[in-house]
Amino acid sequence: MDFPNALQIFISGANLGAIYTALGLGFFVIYSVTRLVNLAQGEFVMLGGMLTVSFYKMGIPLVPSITLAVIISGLAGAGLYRFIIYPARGYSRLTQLLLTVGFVFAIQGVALLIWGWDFRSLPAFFNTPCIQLWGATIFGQTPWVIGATLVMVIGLFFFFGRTIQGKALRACANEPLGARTMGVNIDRMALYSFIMAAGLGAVVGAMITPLTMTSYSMGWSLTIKGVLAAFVGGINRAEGVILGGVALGMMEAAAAGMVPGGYHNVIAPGILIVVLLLRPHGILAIPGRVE
Amino acid sequence: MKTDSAVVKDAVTSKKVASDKLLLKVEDVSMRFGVLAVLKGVSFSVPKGNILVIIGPNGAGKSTLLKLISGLLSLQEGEIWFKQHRLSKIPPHRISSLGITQLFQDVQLFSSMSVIENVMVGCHLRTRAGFLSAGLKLPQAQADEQRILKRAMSKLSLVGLEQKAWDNPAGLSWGQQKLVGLARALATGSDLLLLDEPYSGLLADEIDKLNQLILQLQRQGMTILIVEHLTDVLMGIGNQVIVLDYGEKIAEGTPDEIQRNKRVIDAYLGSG
Repeated sequence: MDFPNALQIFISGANLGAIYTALGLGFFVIYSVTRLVNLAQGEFVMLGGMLTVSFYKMGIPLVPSITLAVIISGLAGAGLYRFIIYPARGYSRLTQLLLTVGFVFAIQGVALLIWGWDFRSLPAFFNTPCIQLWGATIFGQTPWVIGATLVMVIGLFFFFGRTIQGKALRACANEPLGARTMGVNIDRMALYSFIMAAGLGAVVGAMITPLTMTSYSMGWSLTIKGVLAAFVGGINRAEGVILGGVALGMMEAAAAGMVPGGYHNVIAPGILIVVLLLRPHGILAIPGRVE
Repeated sequence: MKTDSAVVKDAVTSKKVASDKLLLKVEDVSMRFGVLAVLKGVSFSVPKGNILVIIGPNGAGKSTLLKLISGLLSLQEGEIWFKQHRLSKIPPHRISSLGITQLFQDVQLFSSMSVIENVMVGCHLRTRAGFLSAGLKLPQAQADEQRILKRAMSKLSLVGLEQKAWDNPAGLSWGQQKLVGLARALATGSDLLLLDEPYSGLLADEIDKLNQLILQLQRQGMTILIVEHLTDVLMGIGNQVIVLDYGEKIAEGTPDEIQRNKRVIDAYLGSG
């Protein structure tokens, strides 16, 4: 393989890795607090993309459009927790997991009614042109996707590691009884985690829409990618989610560049299945803290 | 002005303690798990600044009683009053903000955090900054973090573990982990400290150190409720003792009275 092709694979992998990392972080935030895998996470990405497109087409500038999309998606996240997960808080994790699947179909139905079947797109942010680098092409949107992911990663590390509110959120998942006797309102913390994860998902949706376009049904495939990224790296550690996301993105890009036909689509998940068989809790997971 | 021992005597015997001197009042509390009656009509009062020791054999209902007071279990029958608040009417997470905190038998430290972070979570109720200001690192949130760090460090210093502040609790001895749990509980600023079998697994010198700390906290005005089965350790520090047996309160009094109580000797002390 010549250098430009290798570089192109690396750039595409970095772009995909950033997207999958950002997706996985949504799972990490909710799991860190509630130990629940929210299978509706991809729907917040879809909502973020669709809402941003809608507001932008109404003539609202891009940044306020994204902000509004994040706020509305955050409210949808709050609704998912308050009206679906919270009433079922005493039920098993499996029941709660299935409820998030139910939410997927509900939100897809509403999106279909509002936006129809069509794929929608946004122009690349601020008309950033494609960049040629040593024979490889970098799409104008790619730096935005990677940059937004970096900001999310740094922000989450700061929030969970350096703020008392972040520590209280982590305490809920670590020792719920201990957290409660310290006065931490576990239900409220869970609500915040859903709002945060939905907001993060919406940012991802807005960022990737110029690259991938968006439609009412795009959420589920993104959920699968996010779950893979989170579980391969280790859903209970942000470092694990980053590793899983980047590894998944790089493998997908490499497979697409080297394997003919549609076979590349099965290589990355195949390798990931092998990883999970060898380390069921993920590469960097902290033992005993993944249920 | 009444002395502490006079207040205790009133609480224990004549029940004439003025309501403003009472911190906790447990009224006719019963609890069932299925067909098993774990507590049967238990009542007692704890004046402010007291150390109440609840003893009894395994299965006597001691830990259940603590969990009812801290709100980890919901009351089925009876009522618990804390500073004129009916605890049955208060959501569990708010009970801590009223001033009740608990140290669990198995401590339940947050293993993904350092020692100091554990204690900082105990200060959670004292934060003024909300989620947004914390996330955006606004000046108020930064000042809040610094204040909480200082407070957490002072509690660690109180239990003698400031040198271990940045260690992971998993690397500490069991006795040190208990002290971290105690520091975390103290960081809440509560008036009532519930200790569930705090001496279990401790070495003799660690038991002495814990006793000294408990007495120091009492001198600072804290009310402490200890559940334990090591009676010889407790008779030295408790100024009010309750004995439970099969969910029933069979005796209440000062340590001396309890040691002379024939029913207690027959049911519990004599059996050891």
